[in-house]
Amino acid sequence: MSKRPWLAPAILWVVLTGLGLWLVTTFSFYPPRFAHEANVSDDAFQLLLILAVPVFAFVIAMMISSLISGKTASEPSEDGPYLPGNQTAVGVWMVITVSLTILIIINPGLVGLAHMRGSDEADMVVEISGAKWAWTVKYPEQGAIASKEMVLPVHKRIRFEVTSKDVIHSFWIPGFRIKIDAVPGKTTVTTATPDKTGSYETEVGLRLQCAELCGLNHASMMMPVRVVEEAEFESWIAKTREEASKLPEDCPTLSDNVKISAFNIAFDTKCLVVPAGKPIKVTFDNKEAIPHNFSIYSDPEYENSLSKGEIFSGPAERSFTIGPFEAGDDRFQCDLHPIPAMRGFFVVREGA
Amino acid sequence: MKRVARGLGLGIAGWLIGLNLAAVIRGTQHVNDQANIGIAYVFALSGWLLGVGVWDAWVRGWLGLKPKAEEPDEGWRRYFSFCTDHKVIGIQYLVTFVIVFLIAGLLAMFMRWELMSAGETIMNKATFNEIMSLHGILMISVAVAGVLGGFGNYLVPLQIGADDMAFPRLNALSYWLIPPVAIMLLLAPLAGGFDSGWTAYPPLSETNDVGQVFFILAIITFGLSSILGGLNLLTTVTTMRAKGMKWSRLPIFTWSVFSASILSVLITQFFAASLLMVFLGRAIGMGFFDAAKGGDPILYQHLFWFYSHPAVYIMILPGFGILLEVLSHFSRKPLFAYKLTVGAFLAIVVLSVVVWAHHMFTSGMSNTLHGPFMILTEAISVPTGIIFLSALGTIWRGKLWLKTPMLFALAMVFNFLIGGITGIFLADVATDMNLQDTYFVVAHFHYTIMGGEIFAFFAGIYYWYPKVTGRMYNEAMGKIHAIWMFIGFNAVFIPLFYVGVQGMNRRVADYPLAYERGNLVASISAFVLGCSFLLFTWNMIWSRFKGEKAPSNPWNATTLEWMTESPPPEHNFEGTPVVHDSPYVYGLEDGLHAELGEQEPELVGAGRPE
Amino acid sequence: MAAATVEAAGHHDTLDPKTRLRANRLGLWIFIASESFLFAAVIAARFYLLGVDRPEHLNQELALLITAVLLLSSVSAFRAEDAMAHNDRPAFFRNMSATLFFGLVFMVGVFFEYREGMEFFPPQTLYGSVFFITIGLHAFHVLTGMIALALVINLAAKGHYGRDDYWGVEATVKYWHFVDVAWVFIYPALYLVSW
Repeated sequence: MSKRPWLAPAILWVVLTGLGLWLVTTFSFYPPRFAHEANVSDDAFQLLLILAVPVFAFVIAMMISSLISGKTASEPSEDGPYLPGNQTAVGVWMVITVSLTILIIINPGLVGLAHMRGSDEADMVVEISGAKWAWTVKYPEQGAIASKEMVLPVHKRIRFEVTSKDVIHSFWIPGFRIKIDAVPGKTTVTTATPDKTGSYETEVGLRLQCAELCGLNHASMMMPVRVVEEAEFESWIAKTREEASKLPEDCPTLSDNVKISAFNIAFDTKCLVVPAGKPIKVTFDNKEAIPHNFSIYSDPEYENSLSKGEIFSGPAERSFTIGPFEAGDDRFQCDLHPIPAMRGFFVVREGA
Repeated sequence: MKRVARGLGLGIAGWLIGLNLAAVIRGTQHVNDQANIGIAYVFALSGWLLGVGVWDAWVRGWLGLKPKAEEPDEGWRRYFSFCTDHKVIGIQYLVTFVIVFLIAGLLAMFMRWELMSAGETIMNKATFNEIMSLHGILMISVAVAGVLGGFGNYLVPLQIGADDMAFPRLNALSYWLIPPVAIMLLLAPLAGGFDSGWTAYPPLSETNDVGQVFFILAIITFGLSSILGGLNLLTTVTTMRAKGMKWSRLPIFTWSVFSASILSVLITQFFAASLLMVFLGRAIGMGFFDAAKGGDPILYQHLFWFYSHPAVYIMILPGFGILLEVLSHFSRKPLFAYKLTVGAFLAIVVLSVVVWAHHMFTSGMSNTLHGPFMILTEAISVPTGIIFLSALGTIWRGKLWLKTPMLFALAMVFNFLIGGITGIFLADVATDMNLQDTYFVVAHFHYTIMGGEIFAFFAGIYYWYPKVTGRMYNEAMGKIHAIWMFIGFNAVFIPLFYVGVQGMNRRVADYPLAYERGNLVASISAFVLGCSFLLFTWNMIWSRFKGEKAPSNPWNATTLEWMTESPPPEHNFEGTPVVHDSPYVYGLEDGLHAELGEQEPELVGAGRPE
Repeated sequence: MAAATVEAAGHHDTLDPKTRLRANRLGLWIFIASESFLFAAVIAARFYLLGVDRPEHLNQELALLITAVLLLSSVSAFRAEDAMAHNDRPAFFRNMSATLFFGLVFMVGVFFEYREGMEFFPPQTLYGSVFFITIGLHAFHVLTGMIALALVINLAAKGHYGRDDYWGVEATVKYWHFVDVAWVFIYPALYLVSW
């Protein structure tokens, strides 16, 4: 038996720790960071990784040493030494593990938590609403609504106020490293200060990805994110506001007898034009075994309901009469799937 | 066997009676109304249980009726009957849950095939969500009941020197509650399946297909089995230890089962309560989790995780027990720091109950909860670390006999090290905010539960195979399986840590192209891993019939199960066990844990003062 | 009950009577502890969702009455067990029957509670959800307790149990006490808080 059985594992530990620390400080596997919070999160991760190396290396070193000095392929002819305990070893172990634990509780634990959360102030508010299976992004201070991509100004602290219209979703932007669930009946909050420009075209992390299983299309419930300079943000806002009130180019001709169908969680039209003051006959063909309905709202926020349609599953066709309506640019949607593909303009015009 | 057939018949009859009775009483036209399904299930389960043995074992006696003279089954038929022998029940659990494990593993193979490349490969999203959910709950059931129900039942009476469990009939009942669980889970796809994961968060679980109701009913039944099993184990260990078997001389495996059972009997009720609330929300519109009615979906998460976090300790503690047992006997050294380790088990039991909300850091719960739960979660790494201290201290300067059980045990230490360390990244809120619901989490819990408990499960299977079957397994095949499974397992889940950090979320049938390479590597490794189980299955079956006959103590180990034949006789021991010392007396001259004395007419329980 | 079940099941009990009793008692306590957690879960839900709010339309008189009835039933149950321990069979039957009767009165009271509840706070409301699940789970436990009481009375009438062997009685009475204690927590939680 070696006179200093501790030597071999100690050397092994130092070597493995050195190797490990070299690896984790040389190679970075973090995806690109686009916000202050991403730096906080990745720094916390890196610190924990660095602290983990000697711990990991210690266990491996002990296992390897024990294996090398003690392994036997055939049944041992005698027992090993009677070592049921060792006060010193236990004492040292407890001191080290408790100290390490206290250390990580403080940093990156509580310190990281504080930095991640930051202060309550924000430069800008963005309201996020999730519904099966798409996101709607509202800029209340700028008066714009986006449903195709979320554009954010760089270097501004943004407060995201998140909610859901149906089941629990989760608001996650990998490139920012922030996440908060979208809970129906509640508004949850998270904040981020983007600090680098970029877009989903080149950065897979710049996406608003739903991160809580929400049913059939959970995987594809995402929206591209683009971080731009402030000037570009302002012009994008202006354009979005303008487009919101513009009718689609291919609106059908006026009719009091409209047909609409649903398939693949989408309506087949984005625009219907009907006369004011007359009852409107609607023929709704639901082509799939997923329930839908057809409802009318008077506002672009889809809050003021003028007519709520019956929910039914297909394949089935239902005809019903709605209205009469006053003239105006109303909206229609499927209440179960209030996403862009199942929303559109319901234009009510005076005249024959 | 007759009873099983009777149970099936009465179960089906009960279902039909209940369904129609419910429809008549409630005046609903729809026979598949969800509340009616619940009522039908209660009748069906009652019919099944009465038929399969509850009537003869208890109800006759309660009604004062004379017992029916029935020939007990012999041979293999015992395993299909309401047999009260803990060894039979242990084998019933083991075989059932190994089969469930293989089925769930096959589902995983299909999942990995689908996820091999971005886009739809072999199945649509709806099917993926259902398969993913089923894989989850089946594996959870294996992890919760496989070791406890299988090895706990088989080994604990032997290790404490008793001839059965405290409540043998209740033990059989705990097992026979499992087939309805399996049936309901496997029938769920016919009712639309359940696609809300095994976590079943409302509102999704309150608004999806009726298959969810089958899930709920199955899990409540499983919970009942868990509670009764835990109750039995706690009572057995407390009251039926052999003469001289003080608490300080209990084998570490028995301690681990005891600790896990404390959690099992108490905390499981919260899972049942939360699922009952979901069911009532679906069936009669109760609004616990419905914001429109003033309810709160986050309440479900609190109730659910209050059980489900301790549940992972119910899973891993017996795994630690097997680990430390194998390490000691195969290093020919005493277990290091035995008392401290037992203390660590109990500290884990207590702490595990106050850390649940670390699963909810991004749930929208109050911010004030983040700090405390983070602190308590990181604190639990101290008692968990003591397990590593014990493991390393045990093998240090030992004579490491590298048989298959030992290979699995050593692999488990490596795997759980990674699993445990990565847990810290999830306990830390700053990192968890990004990692929650990504593949980092998936890899973490596979490292702890599969790399940890399941590897320990396999260590136990090989370790106790000779005792249970009376035959030696094929050592070469065992070693190959161990190495193959270890390499395959790590090759699957290391890439998944990576894609998680890169930004791939979980429970998705499809993902952005950027994550494809990592997924491809993981999938191919998964197929390699999967094939290792074919070798395992072959070894288990072939050795059962063709393996060398096993001696009483092929490992020359000290615990009581090795003092009797392989397999043990019906009453477990020829002679009455008398315990002199701890089992961990390796290296002590004249060290003797226990011996078999003369057969005493009655078993002396621990009613005697020690 | 031990002797009865051993014969009935054709099941050989290897434990000596003293250890058997000890094991049975421990098993019962563990079971009771487990069931307490079930009630803890629904009561926790009550406070999480509603704080200490409660609706105006609560029939306090009815609730107080049935609480008193249940407490009385525990007194008679206690006396029944005591009677059996002293082989006073007439007193045993009187008190067991009284317990069963009180239980029945309690259940009738619960029926009226339900009816009133349905009118003012049906299960589709928040308080109704909490109310009905809690009262419902408790009533289920009362019902199973009553079935156990009836079975034990019947077995005793057939000659089972004696001064030295009455586990069935002891278990049923202890379970009944548990059901009462559970109510002692449920009643204030639903009816009395923020008085």
